[in-house]
Amino acid sequence: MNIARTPGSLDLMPSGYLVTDNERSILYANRYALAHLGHDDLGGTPLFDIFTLASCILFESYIAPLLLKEGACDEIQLTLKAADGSKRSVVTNIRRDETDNNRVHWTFINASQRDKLFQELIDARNLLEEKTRFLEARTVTDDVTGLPNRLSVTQYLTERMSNPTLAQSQFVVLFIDLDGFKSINDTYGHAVGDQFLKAVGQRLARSLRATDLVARYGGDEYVVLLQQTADTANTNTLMIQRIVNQLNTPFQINGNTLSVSASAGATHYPQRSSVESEQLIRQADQAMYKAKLAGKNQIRWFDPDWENSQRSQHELTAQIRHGIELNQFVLHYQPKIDLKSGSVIGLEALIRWQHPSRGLLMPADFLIHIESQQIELDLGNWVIDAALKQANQWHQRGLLVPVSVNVSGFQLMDPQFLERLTALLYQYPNLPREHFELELLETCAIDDSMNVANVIASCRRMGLRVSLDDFGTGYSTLSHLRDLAVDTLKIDRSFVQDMVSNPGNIAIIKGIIAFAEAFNCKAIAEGIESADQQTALLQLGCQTGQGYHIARPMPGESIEPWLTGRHTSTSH
Amino acid sequence: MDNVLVRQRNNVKVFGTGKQVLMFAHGFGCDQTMWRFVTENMQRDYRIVTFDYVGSGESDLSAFNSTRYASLDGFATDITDILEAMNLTGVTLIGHSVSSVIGMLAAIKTPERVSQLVMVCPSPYYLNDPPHYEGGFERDDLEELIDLMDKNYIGWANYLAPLVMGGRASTHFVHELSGSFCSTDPLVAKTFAKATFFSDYRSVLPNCTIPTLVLQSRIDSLASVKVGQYVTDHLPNGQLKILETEGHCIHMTDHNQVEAEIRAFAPAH
Repeated sequence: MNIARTPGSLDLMPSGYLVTDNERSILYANRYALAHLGHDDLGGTPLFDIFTLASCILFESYIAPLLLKEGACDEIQLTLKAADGSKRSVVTNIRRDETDNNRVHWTFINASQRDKLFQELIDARNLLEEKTRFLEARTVTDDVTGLPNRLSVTQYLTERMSNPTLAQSQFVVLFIDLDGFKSINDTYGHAVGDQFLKAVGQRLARSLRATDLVARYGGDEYVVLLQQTADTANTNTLMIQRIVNQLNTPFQINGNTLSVSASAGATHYPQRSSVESEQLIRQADQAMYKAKLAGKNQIRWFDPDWENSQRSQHELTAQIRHGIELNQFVLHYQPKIDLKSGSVIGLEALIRWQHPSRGLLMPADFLIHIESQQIELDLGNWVIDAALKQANQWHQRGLLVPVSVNVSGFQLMDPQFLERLTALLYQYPNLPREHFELELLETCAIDDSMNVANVIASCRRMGLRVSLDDFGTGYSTLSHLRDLAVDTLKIDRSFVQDMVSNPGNIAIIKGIIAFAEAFNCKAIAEGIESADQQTALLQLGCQTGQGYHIARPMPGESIEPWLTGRHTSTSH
Repeated sequence: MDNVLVRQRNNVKVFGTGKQVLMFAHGFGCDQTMWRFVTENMQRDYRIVTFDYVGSGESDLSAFNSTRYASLDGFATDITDILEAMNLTGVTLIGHSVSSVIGMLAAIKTPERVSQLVMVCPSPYYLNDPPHYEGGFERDDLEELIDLMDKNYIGWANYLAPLVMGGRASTHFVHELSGSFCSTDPLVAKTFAKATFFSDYRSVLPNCTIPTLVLQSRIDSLASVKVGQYVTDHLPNGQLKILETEGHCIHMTDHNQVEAEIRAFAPAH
């Protein structure tokens, strides 16, 4: 057989056909093969001349052994080289003819379409891989910061604590909450707020070691797991301090210089009794909350005793709720007077708890235990309602004296505060609004000043009066005071009590009176306990005051007799 | 490892009569049956051991571990496992192509068991490293090889399977592909190819001190004579024998010559 000189039908084949000898030289190539590879003639050409090197390897390592052993090889994809050097992807079927000197017969077809499909398959696979990674990442990553999310850190902690090897290791869980982040969001918008949160996350991540972990827990809260070395608790505190202090350096976001501080709570693992991962985070959260209460920008360690006190607090909350239903709470009223004329200018409502077993309880006995909880809001609402009712009664009876109530910062910041207040005021349409006054602690007005200022302004627009209680004990700045337009500054009792013997306090009182004048509001002294104090205050220019020297707080029903008696005693 | 387990895992075959033990290691792409042309006559005078690497031929594919076999060391451990399990000593180890290097690694690991080495068409490094070394290939060539392997070895439906199955290779589909000569599981084939074609074992050559015969084909597109010369030059105890033939699978195409060279190098007594 001499294929090279057998023209005709093979040249009509719509696929490539080659014959090679056992020395791997090409004996014959049909017209399709020549055209496909751009040659006029391939006779005598070494087979590997039309193979890419990769195809050569595939031939040597795969096709050649297969041909020797089985004599055939089907559907092998190879890359051939055309005359112009370009590559041609082909699929070949190969047969070795043992009866004819081991000549090898090749057919091939163009595989470019197949290549295209394969490329699409690769693209589809890459896309699928990318989507899979994205989905996997999403479930464990926080969108805003790219840090692990709440679910992820909790799972990590759980796994770590249940891993017998790692469970032996000691670590610290740190709960970080930014102070004053809300004002950034309010002032610059959420886009900047989000960038800020991301920057905080990055800064935290940079300050950690490879063995540590930071996650965004939610809002402006971050949880950090710190691998504990053999160091002491003191070293831990220093390390945490260093991490938290990093956040005190201002951030540059979109050309804005933004500053926050952070409050942090920390807890150790392992502990004396067994703990769950979520419990650990809760402990750190509680400690963080203590740091907030203590004035923010600080670190507190979780104290197991505190957790116990929290348990008793749940009982207290239940008792208070019960007490509201059973009318165990009452308001006592302390008169405020014009120090010169003695006329009554107002009555401050003060809450008392007629406890069934512990007797009459002062606010200090129970209010501090329910700070910043829902029950505080409920009780505060009760106070406003009761005071309005009493004021309305007095008004109907012709007693035209303003009544004030104390409002906590937490109450004021409650999004429903204004709504509730308005609803209550509507119940007493005849009560002049200026006969109702809200007393706010100066300290509670410091944080989040813009929002507090807005709420205060709204109250004043309703016609209510607003005063700042315990004035001088907070840290108001002048600009802060400017934003907080109020009617009255109440000079804290601590300055009044030893004013006679302490010239420094006199200076402060003078200063507060001057402040009040400058900001166009009144000043009233609290805690006047002697005639000397009253006289001295008058001399300093303070016109109004309240205190035991004038009158102790008394039940509502005692006010009218007291007024009557006072009127009688002063008119005689 | 347990003798029976290793022999099953690597589909070890022992046959022939003779004191001298010859162990044959197949190259990339196929299995131990490549050696049948050479062993057909030699089994009369030698005790012969052949096997399939894990992932090749009729080995236990479930033993495949892409981490272990990502480097040729993993394959060398297959050899030393067999040598130890069968307690063989004084073995002449004959490796084709990449198994030349794998055999060298095994010999260095267990010098007490391997006394001589035959390298058939070896290459310690397939890439060119100018100016002093011509492996024969550029990185692009080898990337194309991996690409061609993808296109040839992989059932297209299976191409997405590992993803759909969450990245875990299914032993079911691995087994489906096993058994037929030279067809290999895609993961195995690619792992073997990468370990073979992208690693550089030139620096290991001087550590192989046992007598070594390098059998080289005159024309071999995978491993040129220059590469054979390089290997011999860097082996402390190597000798080069160039066979006047063409191709990389000389143990199949020119098995008589290969057999004669092995007999001369490791006489049956």
